[in-house]
Amino acid sequence: MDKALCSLSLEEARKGLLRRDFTAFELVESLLRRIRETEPALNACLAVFEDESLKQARAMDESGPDPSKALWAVPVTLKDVYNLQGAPATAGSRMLKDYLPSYEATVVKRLREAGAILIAKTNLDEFAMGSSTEFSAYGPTRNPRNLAVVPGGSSGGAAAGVAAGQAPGAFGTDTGGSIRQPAALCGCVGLKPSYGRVSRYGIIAYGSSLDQAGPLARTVSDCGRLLSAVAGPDGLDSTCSRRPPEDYVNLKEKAPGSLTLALPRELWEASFHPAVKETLDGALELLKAAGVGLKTVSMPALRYSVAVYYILAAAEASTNLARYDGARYGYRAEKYGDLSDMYKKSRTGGLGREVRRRILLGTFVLSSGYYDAYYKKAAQARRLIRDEYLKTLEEADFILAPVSSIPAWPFGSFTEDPLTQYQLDIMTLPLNLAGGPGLSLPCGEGSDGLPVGVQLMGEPFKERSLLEAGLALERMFPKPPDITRSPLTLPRG
Amino acid sequence: MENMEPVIGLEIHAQLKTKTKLFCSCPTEFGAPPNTNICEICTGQPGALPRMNARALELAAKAGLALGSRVNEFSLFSRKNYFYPDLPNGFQTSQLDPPICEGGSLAIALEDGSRKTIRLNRIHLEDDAGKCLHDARLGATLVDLNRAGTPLIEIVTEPDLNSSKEAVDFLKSLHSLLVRLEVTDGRMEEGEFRCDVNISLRPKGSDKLGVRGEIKNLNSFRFVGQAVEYEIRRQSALYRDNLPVRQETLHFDSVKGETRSLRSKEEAHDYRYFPQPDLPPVYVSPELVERLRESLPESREDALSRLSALGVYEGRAELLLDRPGALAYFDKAYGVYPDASRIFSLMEEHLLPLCWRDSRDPLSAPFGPEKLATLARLMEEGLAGRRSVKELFPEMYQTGSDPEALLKAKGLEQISDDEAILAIAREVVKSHPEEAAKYRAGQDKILSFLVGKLMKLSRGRADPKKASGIIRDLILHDEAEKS
Repeated sequence: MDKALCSLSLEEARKGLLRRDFTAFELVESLLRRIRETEPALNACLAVFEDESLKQARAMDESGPDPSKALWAVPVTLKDVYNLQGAPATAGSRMLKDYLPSYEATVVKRLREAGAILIAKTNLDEFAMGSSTEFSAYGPTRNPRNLAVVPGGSSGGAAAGVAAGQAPGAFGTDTGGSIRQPAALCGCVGLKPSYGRVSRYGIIAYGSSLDQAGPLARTVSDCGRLLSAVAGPDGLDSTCSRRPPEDYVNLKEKAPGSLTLALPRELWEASFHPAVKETLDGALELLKAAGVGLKTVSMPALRYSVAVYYILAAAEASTNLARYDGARYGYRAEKYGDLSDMYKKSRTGGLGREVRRRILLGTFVLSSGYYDAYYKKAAQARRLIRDEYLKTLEEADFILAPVSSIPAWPFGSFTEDPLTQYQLDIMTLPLNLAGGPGLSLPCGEGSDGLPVGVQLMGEPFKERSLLEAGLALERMFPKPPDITRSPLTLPRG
Repeated sequence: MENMEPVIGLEIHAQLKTKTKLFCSCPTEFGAPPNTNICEICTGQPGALPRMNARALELAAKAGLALGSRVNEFSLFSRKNYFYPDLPNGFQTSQLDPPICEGGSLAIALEDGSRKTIRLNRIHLEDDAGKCLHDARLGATLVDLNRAGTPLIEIVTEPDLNSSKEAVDFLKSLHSLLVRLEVTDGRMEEGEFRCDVNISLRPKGSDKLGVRGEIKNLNSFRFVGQAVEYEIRRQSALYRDNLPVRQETLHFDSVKGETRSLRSKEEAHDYRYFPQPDLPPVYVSPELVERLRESLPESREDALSRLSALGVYEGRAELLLDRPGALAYFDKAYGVYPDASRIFSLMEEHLLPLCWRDSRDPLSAPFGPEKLATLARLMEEGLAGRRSVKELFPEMYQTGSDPEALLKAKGLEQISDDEAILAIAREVVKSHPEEAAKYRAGQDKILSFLVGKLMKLSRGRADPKKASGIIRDLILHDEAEKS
């Protein structure tokens, strides 16, 4: 029995726990064992809470199952941008190596209230800036489906861990695709909720108007259950919507014949890696065969999304990260001259190259004389993209798009070519600019054996309907191979 | 430089009278031990987000309404970015465009008795920074973040002021108004009301503005006057010697009485303002504006003319308007016992100095307006004398005891009974026969000596007005009897 516990989906684990088929302790033990077994190869976790998790599991076993709690004794991991008391929140940065938060994120509080057991914090690109998890100050995470390639990012540790069976569910954040893209590259499911659906309070910020917390899991319904535990208004986040959450647990799978999906030409006609192209073509055939209406649409404003995103996100990041100055907490250079020198040396020493690059970019676009040409123009273009997005959804139930034009790539492919890497984000950025919800799910694997994903995007605050459509697609597409028990060993050499 | 005139604009920062900070619920109290009134929000911890203090919003809108500004239904917070150890987020959260209030004005009195209207450009909300303290013993700079996040309004005038006196008069008038509105406590020594002065010179009659200097952070009216005077002299000398006037930011050294350059225009910060993405637009509903408008106290002018009509001397009545609660206290006491001048005197001489010593709103003093009204009545009825009031007031103020009962308990009730005073007068005449004789002989001035003796003998309790009549009658009556 125990051998299979780490393979259970979240829903299966929950049912088994409530039926007392196995104990919370056994489940946690199994996952911890899987983490120990896979970590040398993956490096998906920055911290593992072995003692605390086992202690909590034992206490829960003693008090007995509580079905009123959405996640009773369900182990979950958190991307290392969530503040959780008693453990460092590093954001994958040297700057925050020893930073111990004094308070907890709203998501963390809600997960605790829902009964979840927080077993580990996962690796990420520093401050969530990146799409490969190569920019972590604590080393890259490997893709469990092929250890020679990246897991995607920035929530790469979360996706790799879920795919590899380290946990049935994880929380990541998505500013420009950071949940959806690693989910696709690792072959799992990732949900970016609408902006304002989940509180950002206590989550280390990257781009405040774009950041959104969301779940990753191995099934669509598991993502729904995870969302149900954390969604809803929060007085601590003024940008969190006051709209009450919907029921994301008791979902009704949509009938394929009732669905019309809009396929934006600007995304589907991009240049794709052949392995991705053939998988996507196959997925479209499956949809057609099932009776799903596919409608090619044009969304011309999408061609601005990369430029718009990198201006706005960098602008927000440049000031969100100004607090990391070595003065009050975090890394401070050991030797420095005056105050200005202390700032320069601490920030240069504490922040990685990609983070510094985006801070410089953001500082530039907000500078006097450049603001109108860059920031202001980008903010206007963002409104165009959002309007176009909403208008497209008047003519279709959802927008369907690829998640990445290439499969997970070998480490170091773009280290010296950031612009090409930025361009790859075009599939995922529009959703963050528009503020809608998006669900990324596997649609097959290419001839190279790497998973390929598609994403469904819907109207803001209609996550329930999005998940229900997702259930239908999940049934149509081939399931990615189960690797939750596969041995993961590093290639030699 | 007879042919040049100064042009002055002010940027005034007033700390709003809220219990908690602008974006978190830490207390705003002054003087707490360093870094005790802080939380993750006002210390800029990773992941913390601001949330708007609704009370601060109301106070800012209220100030705007009282100054005749237009209150914007929607205004925006922006981030003003710069690095400093006392600025925890690396940015100040302020308002650029649009601010909560635009336009408005406040009049000042000129020496010729006419009034001059000073236009306001805008009022906006922002949060304060913490404080850096240089510790020479440690050789280190320490940061106290208790003040970080305290709500401020910045009031920006148009360059309508033309002398240091006008600037100071304007500031005093604005200070008094905001204090009376209870928008701020206005304690300048605690930095709750401070100002930046922009000043330039131009040829008289010109409508162009000259190159300006900006003197930062003046926290007393006197310093504003001195700094403006100094800066006018400094800039005049530059023009006179045909030297360039540079646009720069200046610090006023109050010890040396001079300004000193902090940074030139070229070194000025680029604040990289942009809309604060963590806060939705600030919304002031028309209903709130209406409610605030109705809650506004009467204008300064109206209050002064009303007090003058009640018989409170105009030059002194301002005392009631300069600090919060004083006018309301007066009005309450007057409502109980309508003797305006006596109530005003009691407040001016006794109550207000004690309240101000204790930084206390008079209305919160244990000795409430009803009790002060009672005391005024006792004085009017001759049951309480000035001396006993002077002696007992500190105790009444402290304990809030009933004046009538306290006077009785202390045996300090005034003696106004004619027979009782006459008995004391007899004692005085008996023990001072020579002085009595001199008075009888026409030395009028000696009467006050005898009254003094009578007061002393009564331990100050005899009604002094009655006393002099009674002793005079006694001496002259005795004379009549004898003759």
